[in-house]
Amino acid sequence: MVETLAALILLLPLAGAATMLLAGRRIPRLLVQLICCTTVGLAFAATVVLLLQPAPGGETGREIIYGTWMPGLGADFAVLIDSSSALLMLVITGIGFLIHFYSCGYMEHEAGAARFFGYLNLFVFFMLLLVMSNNLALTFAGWEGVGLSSYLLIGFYVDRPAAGNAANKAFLTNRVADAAYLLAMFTILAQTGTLRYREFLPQLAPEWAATVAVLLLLAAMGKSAQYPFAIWLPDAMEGPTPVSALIHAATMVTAGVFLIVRCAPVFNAAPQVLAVISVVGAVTALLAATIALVQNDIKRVLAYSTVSQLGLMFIALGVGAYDAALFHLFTHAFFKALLFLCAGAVIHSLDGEQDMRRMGGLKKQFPFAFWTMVIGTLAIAGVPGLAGFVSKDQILWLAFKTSPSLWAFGIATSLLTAFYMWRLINMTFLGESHHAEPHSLPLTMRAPLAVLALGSVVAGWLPLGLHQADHQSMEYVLMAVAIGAAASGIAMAHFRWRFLSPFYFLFERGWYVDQAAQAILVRGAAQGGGELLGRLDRGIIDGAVNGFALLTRSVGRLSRMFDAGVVDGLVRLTAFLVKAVSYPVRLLQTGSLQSYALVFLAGLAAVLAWALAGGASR
Amino acid sequence: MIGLLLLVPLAGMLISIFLPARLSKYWAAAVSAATALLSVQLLRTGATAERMPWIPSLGVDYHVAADGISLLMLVLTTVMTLLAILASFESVKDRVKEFYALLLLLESAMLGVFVAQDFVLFFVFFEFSLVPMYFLIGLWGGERRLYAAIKFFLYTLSGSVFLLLGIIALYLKSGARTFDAATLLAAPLDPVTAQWVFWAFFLAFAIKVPMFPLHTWLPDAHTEAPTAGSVILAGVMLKMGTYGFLRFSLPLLPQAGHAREIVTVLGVLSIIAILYGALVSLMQKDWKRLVAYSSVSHLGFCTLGLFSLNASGISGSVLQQVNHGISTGLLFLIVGIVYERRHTRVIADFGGLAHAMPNMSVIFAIAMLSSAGLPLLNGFVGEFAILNGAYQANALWAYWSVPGVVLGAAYLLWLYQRTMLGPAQEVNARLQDLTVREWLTVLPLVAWAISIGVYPKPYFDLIAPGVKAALEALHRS
Repeated sequence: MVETLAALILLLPLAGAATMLLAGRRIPRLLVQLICCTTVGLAFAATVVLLLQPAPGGETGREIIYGTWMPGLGADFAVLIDSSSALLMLVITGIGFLIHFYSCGYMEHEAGAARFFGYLNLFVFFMLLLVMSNNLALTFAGWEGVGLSSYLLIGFYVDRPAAGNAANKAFLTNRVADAAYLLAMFTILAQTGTLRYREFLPQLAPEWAATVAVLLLLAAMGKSAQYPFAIWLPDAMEGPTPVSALIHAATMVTAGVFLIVRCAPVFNAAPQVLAVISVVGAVTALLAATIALVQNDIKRVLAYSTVSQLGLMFIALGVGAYDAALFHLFTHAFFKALLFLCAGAVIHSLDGEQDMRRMGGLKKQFPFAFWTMVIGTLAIAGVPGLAGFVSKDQILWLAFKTSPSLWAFGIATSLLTAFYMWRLINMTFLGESHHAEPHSLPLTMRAPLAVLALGSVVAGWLPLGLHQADHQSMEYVLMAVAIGAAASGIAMAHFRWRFLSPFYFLFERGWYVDQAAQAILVRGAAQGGGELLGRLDRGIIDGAVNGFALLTRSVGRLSRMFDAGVVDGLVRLTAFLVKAVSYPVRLLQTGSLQSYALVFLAGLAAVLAWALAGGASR
Repeated sequence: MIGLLLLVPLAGMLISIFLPARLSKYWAAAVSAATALLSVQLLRTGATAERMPWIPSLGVDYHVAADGISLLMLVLTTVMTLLAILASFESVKDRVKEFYALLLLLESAMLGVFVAQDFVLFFVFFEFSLVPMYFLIGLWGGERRLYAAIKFFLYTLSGSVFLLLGIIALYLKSGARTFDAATLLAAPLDPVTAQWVFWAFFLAFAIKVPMFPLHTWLPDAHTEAPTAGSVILAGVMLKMGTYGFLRFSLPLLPQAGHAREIVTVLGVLSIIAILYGALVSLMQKDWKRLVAYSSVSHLGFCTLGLFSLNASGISGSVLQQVNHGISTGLLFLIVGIVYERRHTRVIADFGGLAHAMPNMSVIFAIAMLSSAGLPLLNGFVGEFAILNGAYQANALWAYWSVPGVVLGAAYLLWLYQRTMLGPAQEVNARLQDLTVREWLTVLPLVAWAISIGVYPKPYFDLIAPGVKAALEALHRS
């Protein structure tokens, strides 16, 4: 039963994707929507049924091996269902289904429905593969697969050059991090000979833990958009908004967090790397929050907000609070998906407008989107009672227990978060209206908003077993500070205070991280190096070959001259000499009898004359 | 059976001379299809060795045999030849009969290289494959075809001279009155001779692969060759070099002494090829030249795997040789398909092809992902095994070569963006998508790429005995 269900959960979205990509152009739009929503909806149902089974994984989780992939490495087609993968499966299929449903309305007027929904299904498949796999290699297949789906969906509007650039940037930035993932796998294989989590995690020798942990951390930083890898996520907003909600907020970007949770024993054995994680998280959380303060594109505010919230999860990971990280991942999936989908509703009804400076006063025309957006905002800002408060409070408290300075980073981030989120509400929904009559929202878009809004309220109170309750008086003090920070952030934004304005030039340029990466890696290393080596190749290496050819030809020409002048000259000289010597002789040899007779007579005469003269002298 | 496999294309070539020119392409396709079926049959049943004296006075035998590695290479050869012939149906219009006759002759010679067990026989096949390719480039090539053809011929021929010298030295020094490869390679040699022979062989094979810095004949030859020529060059002929390394160079290593130093040099050269080829690809302005340089990078992975001298590296290398044939073959086929429509290879002339040719753009995407080593496609499996082997040999090798994986994605994605994506120019807006014949040329490779990527186990099983034998030879002395 469990075997079949787990296989179904994976295969349903894959079948949907395959159908769309092979035959999608011949399927009518409505059927496309129906098929693709159904596959994910059924996967969700199967996940719920699977988790309702009596002890589907038991206390320790359950492994099912379906077949061999790469032999001898523990890299099988196999799944591991335990509490962390189950949580992620619920998020992926549940929120994934809502977003599929929402997309039916959002993408109604766009061409290429089959392509869009096919890619979405493909993404769900790879994401499930990533979390369900029982080994690092198959997780990597999912890991690269979600990268591919993300690439395809960011670049969905193929006519827009910006979309193509953003897609490439996302893929390649992640690929850099993935190189570290590969090296982590080779290190693990060399040490333990297997990539199965259950086998290598206990076997890995402590002296190798730090190396593996650093490599896995780098991989996670790429996928989860931690600085300096964060540069790809804001650009990824070029994709359609439901994509941003599903891939670039609720699910894919949390894969890094998931990977670290999966490999927790390695990180526990390397405390110095854990410290690095919390620093990375703290810096990312604060940096991204400051940048979000000054964005005018509604989606970019949310993108930086996502980076910042992922930073908070990394702080939790860094202090070893894996459950707290997963918990925040869970609640964040609800309210961030909600925020993106609300933003999508606004963009959709304003015919694609994303600049908040041209929005305003939408509250009256758009009460439904306004109230759902407010719920999402209050949830992320950490207002008591909502989901974000519960999970964030947990992280802040555990961070404080490790290091108060980490807590300070977290609380500063909270303040900024409340500020930029209320600024967003202020600019889009409040104030004066600039728009005559926005389109109304179809039911397909309203229903998911309602469900997610509900989730943003209650997700923090679900009995997931991720929330510890060891309340101490100090925690209540900190909680009060956090609430104060959230309230003051909202208040400052509401009265439009120019917050931290001397530093705006830094925020607006994103602390120059992107520019630095472009200059050093893209223009410097890749393009510069390519150009230089290209010239080297033509000039020197091929030049040497051509030079050798030229040399050979010159030597050939020289030897031809030598041959013609000296060697053949000698031959001809010999011939000439023979000729010259033989010439007088040849002259004699005329073949004419008369001349022979003449010479004979002349000779005879000469001999006679000599004899006579000689005789006379004697 | 092996003899039959060698004879079918040869006989097909001879018969084609007497057939009317308009039938040539169908005849060639039929003959190469029969050869392909035969090779697949061999793969399923296994091949028995064949041996008979050829020049008894010198100890030269006709001796052919095929283990799993050879069988895989045979199938690669027959499949690539068949597809190359199919791909030429429309584009080759003059001297048609000669064109297909040469392709069949070439097929026979290439097949021979992968089965010959006698050095003289090997040398004959090795050399004989040069001539048809020389004519294919020189007669049916692009604008600079003569330069490219002569460069290709002279460069590889000079390598062959060293090969011949090496063989003769081995024959004389070993004292064995035979050219049987296994006997000669196992004969005890003094280290100096062994080293000289090793480097002579190395030069011949390194030029063929080609390894950095002996690679510059390749971009010219690949770029100027007709599509069929490029597909066969990249798909099969480069592997004659790596195959030679595996069969004839590695067994000499233990006797040559300083094996560790030699292997370090070769590993480093491979890594340079990986990074260098990728970086140079990145800046190419000619579509076909870009693919050509990518081969330098990919073959760098193949040689890196070989010189890792362990099971993972060598078997990964053999598998990657097949994978490179598939993915680069596909990439060259696609360049050919587009070239037939637009008669240009300049990347800047394209853009937005996905609009007019959606099917082609999907096939191109799969070829790109296969070449970039995306998991569940063929390229990943080979690359993974190679890098794993490299890590075991020397962790630094793996660290230095993974940037090649990143760069590989970079030049391909950028190429894809510039040719397929964006708005379509007027000239590119109304091109015809894949025809039925073109589908036939690309689909087998796509299916092959996916099947290796998802289920590589049969291939590893096939390769394993040959790799084991090679490793045993390495550790014998």
